[in-house]
Amino acid sequence: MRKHITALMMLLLGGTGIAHAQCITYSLGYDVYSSESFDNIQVGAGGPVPGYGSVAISGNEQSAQICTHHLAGGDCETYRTAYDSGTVSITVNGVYVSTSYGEGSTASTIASALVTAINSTPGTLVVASANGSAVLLTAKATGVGTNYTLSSTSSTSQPATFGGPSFSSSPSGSVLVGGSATSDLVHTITSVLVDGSASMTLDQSAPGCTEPEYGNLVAELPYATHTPLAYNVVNGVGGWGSGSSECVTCYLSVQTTEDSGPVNYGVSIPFTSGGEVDCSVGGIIWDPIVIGNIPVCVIPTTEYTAVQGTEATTETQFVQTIFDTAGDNFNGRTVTESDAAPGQDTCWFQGSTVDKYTGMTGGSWIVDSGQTAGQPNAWGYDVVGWSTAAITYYRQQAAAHNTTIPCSLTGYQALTISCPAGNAAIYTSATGNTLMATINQTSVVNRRNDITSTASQTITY
Amino acid sequence: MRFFITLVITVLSSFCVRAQDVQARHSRYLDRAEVQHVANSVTVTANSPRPLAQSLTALSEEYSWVIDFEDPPYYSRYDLVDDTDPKWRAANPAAKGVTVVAGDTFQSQFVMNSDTGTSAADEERILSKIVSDYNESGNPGKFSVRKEGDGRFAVVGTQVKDENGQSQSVNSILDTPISVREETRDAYKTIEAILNAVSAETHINVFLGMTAQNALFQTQVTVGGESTPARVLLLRTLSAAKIKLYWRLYHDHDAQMYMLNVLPLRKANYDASGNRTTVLVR
Repeated sequence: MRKHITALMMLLLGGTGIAHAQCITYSLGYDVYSSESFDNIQVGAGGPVPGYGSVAISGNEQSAQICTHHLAGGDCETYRTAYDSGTVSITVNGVYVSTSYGEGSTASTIASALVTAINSTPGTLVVASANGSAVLLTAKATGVGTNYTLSSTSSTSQPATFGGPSFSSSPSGSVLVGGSATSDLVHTITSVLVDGSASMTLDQSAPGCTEPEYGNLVAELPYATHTPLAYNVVNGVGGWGSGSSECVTCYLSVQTTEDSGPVNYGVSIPFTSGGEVDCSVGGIIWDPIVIGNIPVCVIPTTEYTAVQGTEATTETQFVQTIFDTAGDNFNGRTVTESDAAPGQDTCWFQGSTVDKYTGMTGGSWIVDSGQTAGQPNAWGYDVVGWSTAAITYYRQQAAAHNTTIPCSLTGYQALTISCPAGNAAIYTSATGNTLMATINQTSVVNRRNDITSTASQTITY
Repeated sequence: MRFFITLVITVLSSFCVRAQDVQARHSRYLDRAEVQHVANSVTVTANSPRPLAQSLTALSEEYSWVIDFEDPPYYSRYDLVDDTDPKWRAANPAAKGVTVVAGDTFQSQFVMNSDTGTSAADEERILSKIVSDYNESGNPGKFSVRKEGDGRFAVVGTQVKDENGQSQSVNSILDTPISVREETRDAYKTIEAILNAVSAETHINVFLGMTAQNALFQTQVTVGGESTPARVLLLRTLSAAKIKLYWRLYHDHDAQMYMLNVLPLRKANYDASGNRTTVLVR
């Protein structure tokens, strides 16, 4: 997303009395608008997920005036106030839990009581929490089987007086939803908007600053300062947020003369000049579907690989540099390898003293740290290759064991990157990066096919 | 002329028989040992030149057990079998052939309660049962189970057959006392230093084969000592790694050497259809 800021800066300044600049110093934030899809952003934990649902409690406690003594003509002489009483219940997977209501009850107190009842009843398969007058339910286990049946009822104990219960309950559906063996809570953020900020500081002692200009500026000051609001859309649903939990954190990339850093709710970030802004999103966002905070993880979309050097004579050190379209900073995050598919080894034969290659070798790297310290967004070394002894062994032994040279090991490397919320997200394709080490008669070739580029090294040995 | 024809027929017959032997043996080999659970009974079935090692790898992946394995130095025709590819032999009639360890089918059964695997004592009991079964199976070598501490075990070769078919006791080369200067190196270089010291002490080459290279290169250790068994220094080195590692020490009679493979522990997972994959244990 790109937006020229200068025009917005002027709009903000338009109502701030900029003509009286001799009395003020000012700082300005920016407006950032985006309507493009952030396909490099994953939302959700990524692992097996539990089913979830909710029951909304609504209504108000009813009361009625009941005559306690009638006059001879039938008029009422004295009254008492009667309050409705009854029960509200929730049933999850056949486990029934209820609470009573009566004088003084509100939808929120009933929701809170139901939460307590659910969490203290043996055999319940869900954990409950309250969000105002809503009871939020999350299965204790994970998987498709946790989309339990859900129902709710309410009833009054005084139907003759009140006709019906004071409070009604509405389940989110007949079953919990979202339970899955793997996370289907991966949303795509389709729109992000962070409103701008501007602030003035008045200086009455500045040369040329006199009344009534100064007084006018004091009057304008409240209108000249405002703080960011955030708008986010997740899976096509969303809206303006007014609380800090609904505010995205927008990281701005540095493109020559622009600003950078997180844009947080209520925080004004000054800038030094206008220009283009790329924006991506991180931190916690409010998900109106799940009704709760969910972590957002910015992941790389491109990764370049390059040969750094040689290790143990015949193995190659590769360094990788990761990027996304917004130019985010991934320094300090951990990249970890695992297998996208089982490894292959065409050199191995039954009885070989070199064990068969079966997959990744346990690498975990911190970006811009260790062997790549001082290289922003770089991680490594990822080492690929055969040991010298293995190469010699196969050259001498393989043919007589009916195995031909050249032969190779091939690994399919899946990479995850750690997320601020503590989880990790895979950023390589389903087939992974292809790592290959080939033994020829007089050389070895170590190759790394990455997301964006391929690098290889031929070593004469 | 008749003698020549008879000789040719004899050689060809011998060649065909050997070729059939090699092919038949190879056709019986399993890619990996199978572990079958029936109630609380577990059966492990292996077939490879080293069926005990193959069994241990399968159990290691089934239960996340860290089990090291060490070949004894096989050398006789009772423990080794010709594995020379017939086509290669035909093309290289005067060249020395190649052998592999003469292992074949091995099966062992043991009882495993649902909570077994959390206890090192249970693991030791099961490993002892498997090794005992193996030692009675007629496959090459005799082995024993050693506790290495921290829930780790080693299955170490203790006997081979001599050229007369008699059992001969042997020591593990990793019990060799060595001296390695104590300094901070990555784990890969540290293991190389340990193996170089073993080779110098025993005059038998011990090399690094397949390794968990990224885990080893990323691990910095300060390991060394005087007259310390190589195994002790190896254990200290591997204990510093961020992932669980185990070793396979294989002897090669043809090349007159040992190859040490240092591998990452993997855990087998099965999907609803029974398809098996493995993941690294961190």
